[in-house]
Amino acid sequence: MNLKATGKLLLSTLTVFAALVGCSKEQLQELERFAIIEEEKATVRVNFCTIDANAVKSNLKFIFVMDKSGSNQDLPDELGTDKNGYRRYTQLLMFLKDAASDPSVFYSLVNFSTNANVVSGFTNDRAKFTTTVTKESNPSNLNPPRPTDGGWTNYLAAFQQVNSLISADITAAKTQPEVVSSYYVVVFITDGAPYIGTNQLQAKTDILNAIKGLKSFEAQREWVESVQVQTGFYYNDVADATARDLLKDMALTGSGEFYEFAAGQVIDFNQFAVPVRKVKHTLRDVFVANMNTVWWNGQRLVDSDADQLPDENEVILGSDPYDADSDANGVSDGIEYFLNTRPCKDSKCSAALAEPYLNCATYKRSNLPNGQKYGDQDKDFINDCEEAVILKSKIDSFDSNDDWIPDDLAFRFGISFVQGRSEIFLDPDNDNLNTYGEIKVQTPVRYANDRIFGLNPYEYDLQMVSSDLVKDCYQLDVLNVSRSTGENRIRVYLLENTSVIDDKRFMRVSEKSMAGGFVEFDRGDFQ
Amino acid sequence: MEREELPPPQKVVTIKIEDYCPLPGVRFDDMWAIGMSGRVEKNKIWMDLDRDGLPNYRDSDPVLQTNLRYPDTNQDGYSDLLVYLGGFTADAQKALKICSDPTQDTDQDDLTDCEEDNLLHTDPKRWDSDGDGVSDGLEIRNGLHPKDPNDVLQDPDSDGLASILEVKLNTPPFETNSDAISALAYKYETEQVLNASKAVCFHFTVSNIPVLDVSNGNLVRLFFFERDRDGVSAVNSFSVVFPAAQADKTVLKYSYDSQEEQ
Repeated sequence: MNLKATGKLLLSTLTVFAALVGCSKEQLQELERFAIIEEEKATVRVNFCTIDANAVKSNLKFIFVMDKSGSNQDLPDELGTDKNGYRRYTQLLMFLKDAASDPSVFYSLVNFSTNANVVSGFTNDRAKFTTTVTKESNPSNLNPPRPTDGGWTNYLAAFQQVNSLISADITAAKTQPEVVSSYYVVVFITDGAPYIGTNQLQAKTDILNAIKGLKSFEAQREWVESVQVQTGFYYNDVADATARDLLKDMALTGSGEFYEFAAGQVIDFNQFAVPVRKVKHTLRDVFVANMNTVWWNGQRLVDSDADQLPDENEVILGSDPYDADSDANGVSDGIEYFLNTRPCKDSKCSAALAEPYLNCATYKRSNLPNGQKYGDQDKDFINDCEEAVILKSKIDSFDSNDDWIPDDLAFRFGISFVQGRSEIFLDPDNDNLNTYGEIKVQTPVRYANDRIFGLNPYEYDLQMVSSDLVKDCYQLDVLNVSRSTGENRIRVYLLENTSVIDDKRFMRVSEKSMAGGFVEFDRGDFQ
Repeated sequence: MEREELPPPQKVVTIKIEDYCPLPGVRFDDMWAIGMSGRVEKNKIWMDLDRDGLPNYRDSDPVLQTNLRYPDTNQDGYSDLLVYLGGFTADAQKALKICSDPTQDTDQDDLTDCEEDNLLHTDPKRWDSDGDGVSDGLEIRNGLHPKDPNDVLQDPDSDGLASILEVKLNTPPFETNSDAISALAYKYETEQVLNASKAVCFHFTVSNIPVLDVSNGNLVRLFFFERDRDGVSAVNSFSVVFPAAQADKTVLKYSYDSQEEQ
C-alpha cells in the first residue's frame, strides 16, 4: 500500500475516531488539511556568502621610555642635547594630538636617569596622557620650557620598569571577560650610552638580555601578539659610536628599528599603528529544513505550529495544532511532551492549570514580541527557560555541545545537544546513514530509511559562485524538500568559522514561507 | 545558475607505485595522491603555479602582496594562502611575529612552524594536530579545520562523499560533485601481492591525474598511511613531478623503495 493510500486510511481512521470522541464539525474539517504532498516535492534555492572578513581585535600598547639624564641640559664642557625637551616630547605630543581616537590604543610613560620611574601606567585616555606628557616635559612650568633632567643613564633600571609594567598588564588582562591580545611597542629614547658612573658602563649583554626578557612575554600568545623595542638616539653634532652600536643591537634584538636624530630627524609614531586584519570566514555547513513537516514514527506529518508535534497528534492529545504553546506557560507543547509525554499539564491545555515552571522565574522578560514569556539569549529558537531548566543545554550557545548541529535541529531529530555529548556519528536505526547525514537530508534518525516507502531524501547541489579576499559566495539548490498543503516555513541555517588567528563560530538563520513548490533566499536574507 | 557544459576532456596521466611492502608488524591503511599544481573549484580545475593552495587567479593581490609565482611572496614564513585567509595587508604582515626561520616545518605538514604557532595555533610538531587523518596543511588547503576532528567525516556539500574522501579524490568538500567535478576526481586501484619472500606487498594505480599547463611541472604528493602493532599511525610520503608536455594517458611507473621512475 503506497504512502498516499496509507495517509488516506489514516485520515479516515482518525475521522472515525474523531467522530467517536465527539469532535466538532470544524475540527473534522481541519483534519482534512493534514496532508503531505508526496508527489510534488519542492525546491529551495539559497544564495549566500560567508560573513565578510571582519577585523580582528587587538590592543596596541605604547611604552615610551624617556631619558632624563643630566646630559640633556648644558654641562660645563658640553651643550645639552635637548634643553627644552622639544626633541623628546614635541613629536610625541604632536602624535598624541593627531592620533585618531581609538579605545584600543594605550599609552604609558617611563623615565630614567640614575633610576627609573613609571610616570604613567597604561591608559587609553589620550587627553589624560597628553596632560601627563606635557607635565613631564615642563614640570615646573618654566618659560621657555625645561624638563627636570639630571643624573646618569641607567638603561637596566628602565627595562626593569618596562618588564614590570608589561607583566602587570598581562595579569590584569587575564581577569577580563574577553580575550584581547596586545601588541606592546617600547619606544626607548636616549641621548647617550648607559653610563651609571664615571667610566662605568652597563654591559651590552645585560641590556640585550633584558630585552630578550621582554620578548619572552610573547610565549603567552593569547595575551601578547608581540613585543617590539624601537630605539631612538638623539645627539648634537657627533654621535657616540658606543651608544649607536648598542642601540642598533637593542633594536635588532627587540625586533624593532633604530632611529637616529641628528638635528632635525624625527620618529613617525604613526607607523606603529596596528594594521587591521580582516580574517576570512570559512563555510562549515548549511542545513535546510521545513518547519511544518515532522517525522513521527516513520511518517512525515504536518506540524502547522512547528512545535514538533504533528497536528493530528495534537488533536488527540488535546493541544492546539495551531499554537506552539497551547497552555501559554512559555514552554512549547513539544518540549512539554518530550518531558512528560503530555503537551500540557491540564488535559484541556487551559492556561490557568498550566505547569508554572517556577524555576524559570529568572528568565522571564517583559516586552518580548508575540507575547513570549522568556528570552532566548543565544537566539537558537529554544528559549532560556526551556534550555536552562528543562533541557539542560546552554543559553549562551546555539550549539551547546559544539558538534555543529544547531540545538533546535538536534532537538527536532531527537539527538543530544547537551554539553559533552554528541551523537552525530551514531546510526541508531542502522540504515547506514549516521545522524549527521540524516539531519542533512531530513530523514528520521530512529526509523530506518529503507523501511519508509517512497522516501525521497533532500538533495543538495552546492556550488561556489565566487571567492575573494572578503568572502566566499555560494548557490545552494535543495531538491525534494517536503511540502504540506498548509503553510511551509523553510528555515536555512548557515554555519561558518574562522580558524586563522581566531577560532570563532557563527550561525545565521533565515526563515521564509514557501508558496507553491519553490522559495529563494537571497544574500540579504542573512544579514 | 546554469551549469556550464562539460569542459573539453582533461589531459590525464596514470601513476603506478609498485612494491610497497610494509615492514613486519606494520599494517597498510591507505594511499593518497594529492595534486599540488591545480585546484578544483567552481566546477573546473585551475592552475596553481606556486602550489601554495591559492589558484593563480586568486593569487595576485597588490594589497596583500601575494604573487602567483611564489608560495610565500615576502618570504616571512607566512605563506600566501594564510595571508589570504587572514587578510593581512603588507603592513599587517610586518606586524606579525617575526619568524626566525621562515622555512622550518618540523612536522612536515606543509605549514611552517611560525604559521602553526602564531596564526593557526596548531601543533608544529604534529603532522595532524586533531588526529582526524588529514594533515594540518591539507585541512587548511581544503577549507577544513585543523583543530576539529569531526569535520573530515561530515559531508557539507551532501554529495555522498565525506570530506576526508574528497581530499583523497582531490574534489572540493564544499561543492557538490557535479558531473564536471566527478570527471576530475582521481581514481584509485590497489593490488595486493606476495613478493619473493612471501611478504605482503601492494601495487597502487592512481589514474585520471590531470596534466596542467604549468611551467614548473605537475607536482603530485604521494602519502602512504600505516599503522603499527600498537595502533600508532605513521605516514610516508614522496613526490613525483611530470611536465606540462606529458602525453595524454601516459603511465608513469615508480618503485616505492627507489622513488624513481622506472
